[in-house]
Amino acid sequence: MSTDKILFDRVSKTFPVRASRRGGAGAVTALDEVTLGVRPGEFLVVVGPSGCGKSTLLDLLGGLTGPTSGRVLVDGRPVTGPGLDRGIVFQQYALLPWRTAAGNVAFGLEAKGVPRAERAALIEHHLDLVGLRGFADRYPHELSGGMKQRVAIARSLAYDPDVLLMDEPFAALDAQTRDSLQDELVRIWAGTGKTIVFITHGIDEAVYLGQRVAVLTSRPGRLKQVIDIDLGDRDAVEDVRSTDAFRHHRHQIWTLLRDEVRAAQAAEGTGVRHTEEARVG
Amino acid sequence: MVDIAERPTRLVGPPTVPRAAADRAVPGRAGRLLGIGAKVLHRTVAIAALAAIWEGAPRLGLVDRVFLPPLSEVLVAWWELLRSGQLAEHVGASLTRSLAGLGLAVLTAIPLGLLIGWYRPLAELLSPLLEVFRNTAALALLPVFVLILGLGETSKIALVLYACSWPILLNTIAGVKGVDPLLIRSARSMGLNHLRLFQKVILPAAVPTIFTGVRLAGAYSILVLVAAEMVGAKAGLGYLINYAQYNFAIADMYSGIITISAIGLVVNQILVTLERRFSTWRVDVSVG
Repeated sequence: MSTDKILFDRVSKTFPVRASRRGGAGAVTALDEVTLGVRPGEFLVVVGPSGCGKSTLLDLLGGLTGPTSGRVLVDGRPVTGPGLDRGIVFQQYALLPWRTAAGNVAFGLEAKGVPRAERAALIEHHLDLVGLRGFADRYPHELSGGMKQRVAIARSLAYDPDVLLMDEPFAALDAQTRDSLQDELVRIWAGTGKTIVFITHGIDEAVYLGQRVAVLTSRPGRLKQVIDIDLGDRDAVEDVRSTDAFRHHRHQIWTLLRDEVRAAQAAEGTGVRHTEEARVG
Repeated sequence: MVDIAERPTRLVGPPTVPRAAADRAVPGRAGRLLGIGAKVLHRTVAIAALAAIWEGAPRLGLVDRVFLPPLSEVLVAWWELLRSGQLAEHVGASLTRSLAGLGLAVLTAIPLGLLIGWYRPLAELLSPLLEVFRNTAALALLPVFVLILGLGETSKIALVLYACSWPILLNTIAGVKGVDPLLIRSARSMGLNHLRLFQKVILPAAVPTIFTGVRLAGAYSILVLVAAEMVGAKAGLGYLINYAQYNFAIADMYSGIITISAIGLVVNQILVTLERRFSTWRVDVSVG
C-alpha cells in the first residue's frame, strides 16, 4: 500500500442539496467508497459518464474540498489543502487575461516563491517544452485554445509539482489540436516522470493516454473497474489508434461504460440520451 | 460610453517602397488625405449644424435674441471673461472643488468597495443601507449638507464626494464580485493565501470595472458641483451662470454653460483614455 503515490482510501463525498421541485432537501452522493491507488510516475486516466463525480475526485486530490469519509493520501500523508506538490490543469485554462503567456507561467513561480532571478530561465524552458517558443509576450486573448492550454500546462509544470491533475483539459479543443496535444502530453510525461491523473469522458483519449484506465459508475460514483492498457511498442506502429490492441481496449471500456450511461439516463430522464450516446460511441 | 471604433488614426510612416512605386502611390496619398478630411467633416458636421442654428435662429428672429444671443456674441463675451481673468477664477474654483471631491471619493470608496466586495458578511450587513442611499438623489441632500456643514467649501466638496462615491463604490463591489471563479479556484489550487489571492487575482481583475466607476464619477463631480455652486457660492462656474442670469448678462451666462460643457468633455476624454489603458485586455477579451 505504501508504494502508492496517491491513494484514495474508501473515499466518499456527499453534497447537501437545497429543496428542489423534484424532491425535498437531502444529499447527493458524488463518490461512494472509492478506493484507488496511483503508482509513482504513472499515467492514470479516469473515465465515467457525466455527473459521476470525476471532477470531485480531482477536487479532493487538489485539496480544494475535503472527503465526507475516508482518506486521500499523497505520499502516505493525508491531503489537508491545496499545495504546490500538485498542479491542476483546468478545461477552461484559467489563465490570467491581464498577463502574458510568460506572466502566466510566472504566476505559479511567484506562488512558490521562486526568486525573481531564477524565474526567467524556468519560464523560457517550460514555454519551450510545450512548443510555445516566441509566444512569451502574447496575451491569452491573442492565443488559440490549444495554445492557451499549452500555457496552462507550462504554468503547472514550471513550479515542478510531483503530480499533475488534469480535468478534461482537451475537451474544449478541436480534434486535430487535441490529437497533437495528446502526443505532446505523452512526450512531456515520458520526459519529466510526473505522476498524471487525467480526467476525461473520451474513450479514445483514455486508451491513448493511460497506462491504466479507471472506470467510474454513474451516480453515485463508485469504482467499477481498473483496466491495464497495453498497446505494445507505441513507436513500432505508425498509427496506434488503428491497432487491434487499441480497438480491444476501446471496446472493453465502451462496454463497461454503456451500462453506466444507461443508468445515468434513467436517473436524469430521457432528454440527454443522444448526447450521452454520442460521447460513448 | 467607450467608443471602441474611435481609435487614433495611425499615421503611415515614410514609404520604404522603391521610387517608381512611390510615384504611383501619390494619388493614393491624396486619396487618403481626402479620406481623413471626410472623416473630420463627418465627426464635426452635427456640432457645426448646432453652431449654425444658434447663430442663425436669433438673427432671423426665430427666437428672442435677448434670451438666446447669437453664438458669435456669446463667444465675444466669453473672450472678454477670459481676458479679464474672471473665467480663470471661476474655472479654478470649480475644478478645485470637483477634483477634491472626486479625489476623496476615489480614496475612500475604492477601499470600502474592496472590503464590501470581499467580505460577504459585510456586504449583507450594508447592502440595505447602500440601496437606500444609492436611490437618494445627491442634490436632494444639498440642503442637509448646507445645514450641517454651512455654506462654505466644505459642504460643496462633501456633496461632490457623496455623489462621486456611489458609482465608484458600486463598481468596485461589482468588480470584486465579478472575478471569474475559475481564476480564484486556480489560484487557490496553487496555495495562495487570501492576501496574495487578493493582490494578484482579485484586484487586477477588478481594475477595469473600478475605472468605469471612476469615469462615471468624473461626470457626476461636475454635474453636482454646478448645482451646488448655485447656492451660496462666491465663485465657480455654477455661481457665474446663476449670477449672470440674475444680472441679465445673458451672454455671460451662456459663456459659463459652454465652459462647463468643454470641461466635462475634456475630463471625460482624459478618463476614457486612462480607462482604455488600464483595460486593454478586457476589451479584447469581450471581442475574442
